[in-house]
Amino acid sequence: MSAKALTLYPEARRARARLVVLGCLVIGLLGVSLFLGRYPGPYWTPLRALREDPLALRLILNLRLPRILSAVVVGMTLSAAGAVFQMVFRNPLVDSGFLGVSAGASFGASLAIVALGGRALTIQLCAALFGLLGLGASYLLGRRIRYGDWVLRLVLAGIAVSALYSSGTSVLKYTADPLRQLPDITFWLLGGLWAITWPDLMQVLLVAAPCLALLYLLRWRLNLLSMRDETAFSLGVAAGRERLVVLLAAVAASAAVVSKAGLIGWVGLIVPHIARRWLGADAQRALPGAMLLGALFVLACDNVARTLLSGEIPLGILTSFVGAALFMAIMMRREWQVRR
Amino acid sequence: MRQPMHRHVIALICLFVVIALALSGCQPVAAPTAKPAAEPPTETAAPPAAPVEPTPTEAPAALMVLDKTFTLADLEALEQASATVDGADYRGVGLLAVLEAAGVAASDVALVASDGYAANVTVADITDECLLAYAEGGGLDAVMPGMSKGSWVRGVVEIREGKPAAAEAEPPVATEAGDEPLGGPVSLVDAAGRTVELDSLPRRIVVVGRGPHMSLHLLYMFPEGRERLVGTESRSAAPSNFLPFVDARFEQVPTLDANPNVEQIAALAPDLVIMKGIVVDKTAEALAQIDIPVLHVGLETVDQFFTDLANVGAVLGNTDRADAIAAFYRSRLDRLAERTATVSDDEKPRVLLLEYSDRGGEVAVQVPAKTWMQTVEVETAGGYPVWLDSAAPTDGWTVVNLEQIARWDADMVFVVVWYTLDPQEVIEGLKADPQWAALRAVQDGHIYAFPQDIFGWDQPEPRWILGMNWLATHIHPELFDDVDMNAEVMAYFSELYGMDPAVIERDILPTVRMDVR
Amino acid sequence: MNATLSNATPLLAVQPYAAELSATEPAVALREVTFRYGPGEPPALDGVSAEVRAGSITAVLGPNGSGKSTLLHVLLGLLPPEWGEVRLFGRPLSAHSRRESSRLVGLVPQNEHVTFDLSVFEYALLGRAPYLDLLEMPGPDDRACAQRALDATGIAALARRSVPALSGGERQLATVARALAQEPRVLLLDEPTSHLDLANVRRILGVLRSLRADGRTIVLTTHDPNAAAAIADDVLLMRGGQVIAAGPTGSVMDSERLSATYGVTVEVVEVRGRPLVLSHDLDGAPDRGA
Repeated sequence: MSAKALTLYPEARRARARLVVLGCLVIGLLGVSLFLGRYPGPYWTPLRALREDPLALRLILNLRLPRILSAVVVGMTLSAAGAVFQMVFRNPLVDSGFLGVSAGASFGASLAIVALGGRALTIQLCAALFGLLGLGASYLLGRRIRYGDWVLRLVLAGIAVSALYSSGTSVLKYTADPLRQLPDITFWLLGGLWAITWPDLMQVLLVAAPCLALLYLLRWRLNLLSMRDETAFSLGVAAGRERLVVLLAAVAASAAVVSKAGLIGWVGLIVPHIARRWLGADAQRALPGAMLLGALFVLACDNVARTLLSGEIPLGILTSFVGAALFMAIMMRREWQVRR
Repeated sequence: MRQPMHRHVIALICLFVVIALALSGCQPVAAPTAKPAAEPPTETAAPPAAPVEPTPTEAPAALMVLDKTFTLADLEALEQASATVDGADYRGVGLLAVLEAAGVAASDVALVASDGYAANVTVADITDECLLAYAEGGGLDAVMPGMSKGSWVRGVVEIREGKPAAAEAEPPVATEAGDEPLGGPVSLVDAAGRTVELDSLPRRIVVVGRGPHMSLHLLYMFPEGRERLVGTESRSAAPSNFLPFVDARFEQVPTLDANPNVEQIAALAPDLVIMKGIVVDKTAEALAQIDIPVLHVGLETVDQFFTDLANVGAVLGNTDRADAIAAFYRSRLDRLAERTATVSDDEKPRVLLLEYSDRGGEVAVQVPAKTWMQTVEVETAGGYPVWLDSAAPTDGWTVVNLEQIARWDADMVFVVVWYTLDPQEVIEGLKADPQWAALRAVQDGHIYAFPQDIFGWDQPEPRWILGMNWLATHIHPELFDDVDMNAEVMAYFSELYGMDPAVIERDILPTVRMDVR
Repeated sequence: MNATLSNATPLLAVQPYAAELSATEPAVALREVTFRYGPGEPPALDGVSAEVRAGSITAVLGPNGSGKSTLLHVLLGLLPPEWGEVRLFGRPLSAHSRRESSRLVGLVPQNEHVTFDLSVFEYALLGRAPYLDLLEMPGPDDRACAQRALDATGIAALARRSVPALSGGERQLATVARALAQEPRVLLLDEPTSHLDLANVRRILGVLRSLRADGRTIVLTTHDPNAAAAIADDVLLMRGGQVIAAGPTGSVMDSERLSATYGVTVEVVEVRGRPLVLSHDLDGAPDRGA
């Protein structure tokens, strides 16, 4: 037994192999997605168009490429953030939509548009700030609720905080200048990647890339952060500080993504679950797995959103549809109690 | 132990990948017919009037080569050819024969499909075997044995003189060099404050966005606009109710489903996209990324309208026509201004304009936004819009209740009736309703349905001038008793749209409801 | 379910600074430690002074609320005492950095709740955290150590099982394994035997004995005096935040002291050279068990 443990044990080896498979799938889907679209005809852009049609080339480079890369970034960020929230709050049932982060980010962005000038940087900062406030409010409120166990309390608190933020956003919509500010807000709330350009992607990456890198580097540490405080302390972990860092990274990245892509839900809830089931609960593998799986999921949904019909299907609708269906499937399995 | 769930996950992932691969295995889609993306529009408006058949056209042109039009009969009269490629037999008219008959002298031609896709072909490479095959459904498919598959264009509708493929830095494929540029360059500032710069006038114009029919009605006042429209978006108000009367070719214009993808718009290969709005749309930004210019039109206020008019005239290269149209509007506006100048603010009747709708079975009565054309119409016609009293800032129609209406105590009430309803019935119903009957305006008999023909006269589309005039005749009848609305309607459609009086009488006048009270 | 313990468990890895640690000083020493949970509250620990010999097992006995868990948390460094001093191997606790003290002292909490399906091996691996930098991942050495910890607690067969799916006793052993992976010199256990059945209690106690044989110092709290009697070298009796008595098991555990500690009449008899605690019910009839 002891000699075996010196190399990677079977589960870890298997999980690592699966990670490689996921990585290849992501790259493969990215390649295929370059040729999916509605130009010059529905669904498939033939290779010859690249050689002969300058508009096709420009379209692929300036519209499709940033868009599919954004889909990948969105998927990675939302899944990573969801995984982080689930581990830090020891609650397999949360994602940023349930914790007041998305609603807070929407409110912050609307506030920036209505009252603070609406420049891209301001929007991102306000989105991140209010997302963080939403998270804090959900956590504090969850500790004070007197009903149910911790899992339930946090979800309830998050829903309440999200609802508050939503009504705040509605008030802002109501007072917004109807001709100039309101369309911005509305677009924002609908979400979707339909007009992502390279500058948009760069702005998102500026925040999301370092945050995701940080989370990736801290992936083993996340296991520790999901322990109780006394255990974490006994292991020499400054739990409070490290949790704060990790949460900040998750919220900042989520806010950056939400500020460009609008509200996209369910990804952060479902993908970490599936990643854990398929790759083991150890965050060292489950986190990268969630990121890759999330990238696949959102990229596939976005491909459908922009290709299936001649009109755009909002991305949030697709992710919710598939995500909710998967969620129900997972919840109804007998093993739910045991295998989280 | 873990199998059930992880099998499902694998299955799902495989499903995604399989779908992606299956789509990738599809053959390139055949060039679509005249309406490539015309799945049934998601919202269709029931025409308020009985639809009138547009006048029948002559035998359809099958192919245009340079300036010459060939029907199928013409093509069949030329030298036919046949070829067998990969086991498939093709029969059709020889391509060289067509080129000769049309007098094509260039060294390169472009085969253009109806969706805008074009393939360059060097004439020297064309053999006797190359032909335009007669396809099912009446189209023409280019069959080019021995040449690259890229030149096998399906659904060829036009042959132009083209540049050799090696030339770089071309504008979108559909506009080939060899056509004389229409004119230009043009530089102007659109309604969203953006500077639009065009090197040459656009040949292919697409109208999308909110309320496309408003932009279309403006565009169709110009004969160039009618020719150069190559695509539009279908939204709830169906312009096909009106524009075919102006120009029957409108029926052939491809209609995209609502909220089209940027790529879908690009597939029409437009030189210019027109969108209504004074905020730069995200779609416009995306189109800018692929160098497709966008012209924003506002249309909401009188000043905006004139600017939009001038801009549209500039991009179509017909500023004279724009001036003429502007003069038409100005003469009416001047008349309104002169005569209402004599009325002091206190004397202005209090006017209430409502939209009455029963969408989803719920009756709702709403007032327009302060910045909208409806408000402008009332003001210009010399009335005081009572809804300006309320401080609520909103972005659209605001629901009001009867209490508020009673408080406003308007002298006159004009009801814009939702297009599925009959104005007469609605007015009768309101007058019969005891709560409404208690209103002073109703008791004095000053409740009217807002006039309309196929489209209402209250919206920010070019008909607003009719609405304004009509309002003036009702708000200040003594000042405008010489205005004959029937004549105004005639003048509007004949001068602005070039419609024959007989056509107007047959198709438009029956739909006009001006005297519902 | 046999307590088959591997006798080939290697000795503790020698810490780099272990040389500085005194060999003669007690492993843990408290001097007049006082701690309150809140400003107006009565002290949870009131002037507690005690010493724990290196390489021994010390049991802390007392009724609920006597400050046993608080004592452990203070020893751990989690709760800073308001007054007094804690020393580890002669050096004040405050002089150790977090990393150092976590390499010295490990904690097996009372009921550790693992939310996610970590395997027992991965869970034990968490104990290597004090030896890893912030961005470092566990390496082969760490995995070997975790495996040794599993062997030492006799649950190597459970290595692939998921922690939340374990039974109470197995989970307790897994937690011990996790603490062992820290390679601590001092192991603190908070009520390790409550909620366990007889077989599991014996298993845990057997593991603790083998750990003592390794030279580790063990401090455990328990409300079962018989468990303490079975295994402890020294006993600390606490009541109301104060140490009533401290010393070797045989001398400290007598009837008067225990009755004073628990506030009910108990009788201590000697069976096979070790004390056995009997508690009486109201009508005076003797009653076995604790």
